[in-house]
Amino acid sequence: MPAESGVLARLESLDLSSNLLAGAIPAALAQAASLKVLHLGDNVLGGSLQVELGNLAKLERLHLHDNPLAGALPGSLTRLTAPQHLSYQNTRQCAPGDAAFLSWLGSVPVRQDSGLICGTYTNLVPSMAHLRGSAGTQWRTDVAVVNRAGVAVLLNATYHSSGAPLTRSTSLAVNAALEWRDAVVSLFGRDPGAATSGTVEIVATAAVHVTSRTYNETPTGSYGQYYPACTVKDALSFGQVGVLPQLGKSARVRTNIGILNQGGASCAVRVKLFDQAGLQRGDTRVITAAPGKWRQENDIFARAGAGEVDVAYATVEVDTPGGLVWAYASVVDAATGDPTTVPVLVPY
Amino acid sequence: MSGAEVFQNAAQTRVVLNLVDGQRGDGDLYPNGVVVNTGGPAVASIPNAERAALIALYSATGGGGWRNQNGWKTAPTAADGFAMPGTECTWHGLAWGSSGGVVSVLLPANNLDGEIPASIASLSGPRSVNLAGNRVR
Repeated sequence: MPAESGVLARLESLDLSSNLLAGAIPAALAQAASLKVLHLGDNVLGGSLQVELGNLAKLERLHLHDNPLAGALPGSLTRLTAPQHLSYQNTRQCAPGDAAFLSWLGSVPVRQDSGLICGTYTNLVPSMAHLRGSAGTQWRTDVAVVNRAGVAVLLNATYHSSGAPLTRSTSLAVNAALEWRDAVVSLFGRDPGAATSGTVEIVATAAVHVTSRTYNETPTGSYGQYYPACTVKDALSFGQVGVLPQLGKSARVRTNIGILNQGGASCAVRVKLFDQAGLQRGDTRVITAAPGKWRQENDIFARAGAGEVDVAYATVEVDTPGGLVWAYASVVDAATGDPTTVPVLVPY
Repeated sequence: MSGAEVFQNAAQTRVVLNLVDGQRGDGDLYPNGVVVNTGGPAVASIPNAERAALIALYSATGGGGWRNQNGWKTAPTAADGFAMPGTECTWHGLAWGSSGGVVSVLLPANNLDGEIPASIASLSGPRSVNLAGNRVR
């Protein structure tokens, strides 16, 4: 590709897709200040994209897919004012993992991504416990990690609770798995007599799979609840409406709803409860969480004044621009105490 | 002396009015040219550098093998082997703006094979370039 800039000044559309273009994308492309459409997909372009694409403020369609491009997408892309379509699937380009970029990415109406977030991979286990509940229940949380990333990974696990954060580090070999039983005690070294609950943040050097189970340990066995660990890819961004189906409030069940703030700033979430006719029941609840923090509203139908609702669902909306939040419901059987996790479902 | 040239292809008929002689000999003109569209605009020759840039693109990307190269070498040809100056607006894949500059170069899936020459920068400012689906390097 010629790097000369004279031809670029008035260029509004450049389509060089499905050719044999090789090497780096010339930095001079940043001078094409009128460019609205740039198709470079399906070539053999390599290296990392060093072009200050943020200078192309009018760019609406950017196609980089099917190239051996690698490295981070330029953070300056967030300066595009009217992005319509971004595609970089089948490349090894990653999205900068900061909340501002991911929120911008989430705002692009049509996008095909590589599924890669740059740098470290953060997994948040939303509900950790080591405490005595009502009716003699003993709540514990196990955490498991599976490494299918193809490389050995380093893990930094941090327990966030009411006290100072506790961090432990370990490594995990290729294809290996580990499980921390009652992780609050076995991994983080809290006193077995302690009563504590919170969240665990696991930062890995590659994409690993993290899961958890929170359960009541009884002399005759345990029963409990699976919680996925969520990543920023699972989070709702500003303007998205997530749905929590299969909720209820009756003599049979009650519903708790929790949020986990995965952004870098305090974030508010609006939760609305609906009945089977689609009518909102009770008040809109606003739940606010500090960055990295978990908040749960127990028996949210009672708190909202929603009354008894046999067939119900909730919507969850991020109320803070730039916010990134994961949400879930825990639907608890009133007779047995058996809880079911409902992770937030995001729009297609 | 002034004269007129008429160029016709499947898509359009164009009339080139040579209002001022001096650059061209009478041999460049069709003596029996018929003006079929008297409302057509006068088309001046494009700058030499722009014509050279287009010829360089043709040559660098194996123009002889292009799937569609209508107009580019239609006789009568100039000394450079390409159709006469002033005919560039009829060459396949090019579109002209009212001010005379190339506004688009649209040659998708046309069997272009080679590097885009640096001299393409001599074009005064196309707004749209589409060379998709070729073997451009």
